[in-house]
Amino acid sequence: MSMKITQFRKMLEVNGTDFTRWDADAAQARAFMKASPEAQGLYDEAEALERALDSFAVDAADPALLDKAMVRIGGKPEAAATVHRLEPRKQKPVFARPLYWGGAMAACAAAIVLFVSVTGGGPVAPSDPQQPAAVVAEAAPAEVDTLLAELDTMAEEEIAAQEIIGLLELADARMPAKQGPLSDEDIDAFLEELFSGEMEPAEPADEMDLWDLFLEGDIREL
Amino acid sequence: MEAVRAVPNIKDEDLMAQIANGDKQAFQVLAQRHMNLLYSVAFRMYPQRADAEDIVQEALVRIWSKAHLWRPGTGAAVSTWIYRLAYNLCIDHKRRANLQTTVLDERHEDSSDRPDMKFQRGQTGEIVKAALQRLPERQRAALVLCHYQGLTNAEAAEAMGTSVKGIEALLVRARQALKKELSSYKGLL
Repeated sequence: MSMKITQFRKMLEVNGTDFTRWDADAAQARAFMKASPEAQGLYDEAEALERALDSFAVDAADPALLDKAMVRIGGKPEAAATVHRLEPRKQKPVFARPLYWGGAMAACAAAIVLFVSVTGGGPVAPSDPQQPAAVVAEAAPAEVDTLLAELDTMAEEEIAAQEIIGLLELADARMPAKQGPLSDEDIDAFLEELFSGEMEPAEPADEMDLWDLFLEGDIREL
Repeated sequence: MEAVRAVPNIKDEDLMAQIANGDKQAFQVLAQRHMNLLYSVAFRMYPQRADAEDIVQEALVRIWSKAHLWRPGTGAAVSTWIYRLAYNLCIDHKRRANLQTTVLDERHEDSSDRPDMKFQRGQTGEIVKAALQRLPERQRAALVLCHYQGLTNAEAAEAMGTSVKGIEALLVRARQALKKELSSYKGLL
């Protein structure tokens, strides 16, 4: 299929006169230009425009710019700082961590459940001759249900604690410019923003996305 | 600086990895390699030496501080990242400084040709420079990246955060506008 003059003009305006930029259309365009004086005229006009554009020359950058940048960069890049910031902020003693108490309570509850299930219920003495066996059998499941409900509550508290830790790490990542550990005020401000719905809590998929967010200065419609 | 130039050819990708680990010499090599392209993009976008130098310095500092975000094997060349960085900094710089884009206070020397040709070329250069400044920013950026820097349309699209079709549309409009404007100068086109 032969090229048309409108197509040739469009390609010139998109790719310029350098046929290496025309990809698959290059050979066809060359042939068309030889056969069509109008196409040759368009090509000459485009060449003149490019000659004019090339007259706007730029000197090499001043080498002192690099020296100035070297002075500005100072210490380690952010990567190293990030590694430090992602390390635990404070090494709390093990008993000061919420998960410790959650686990301890869960262990206690499990022991009680085990005791109840083995003995058939603490409060109801099985040796009591006045107590019918059916009552014991009914009382024990009620106790177990109560304890299981407590276990569920504690498990939920553990999940909540995990979520809080996740949010703290997210807050840390959202404030890359800040050096050192976050203050309570920083965390309060972050949580306020998060719960106000102004912040998307989901983290980017990976660091490439973070880079894109950083670079994404001004993406506007054409 | 001469010692830095003498460093053998290390791939940009490897240099980025070293920079992320805080290697200043690797940074110097990469910066030396790409400083001129940064400057030519910045100067053609905003042809005042002080502005262009500010943009270049800021870009270099960001290459250092954000090098850990570079991930090899994603298909994007380091140079395309750097172009994208330069483009975004140009847009930010313009927004912050509210530059007068038609003010032209720099005259760059061209060491080629005879003196009369040089004079004529210098005049043409000034006219083209002014005409470029009157283009909308994104049209100007597309032309700078594709015509002056020689990026493919796909690379320019990546640098500007748009599609290849978008770049093509920008290039068509930029070339049409320049042709119209420069045609009014007798003997220029």
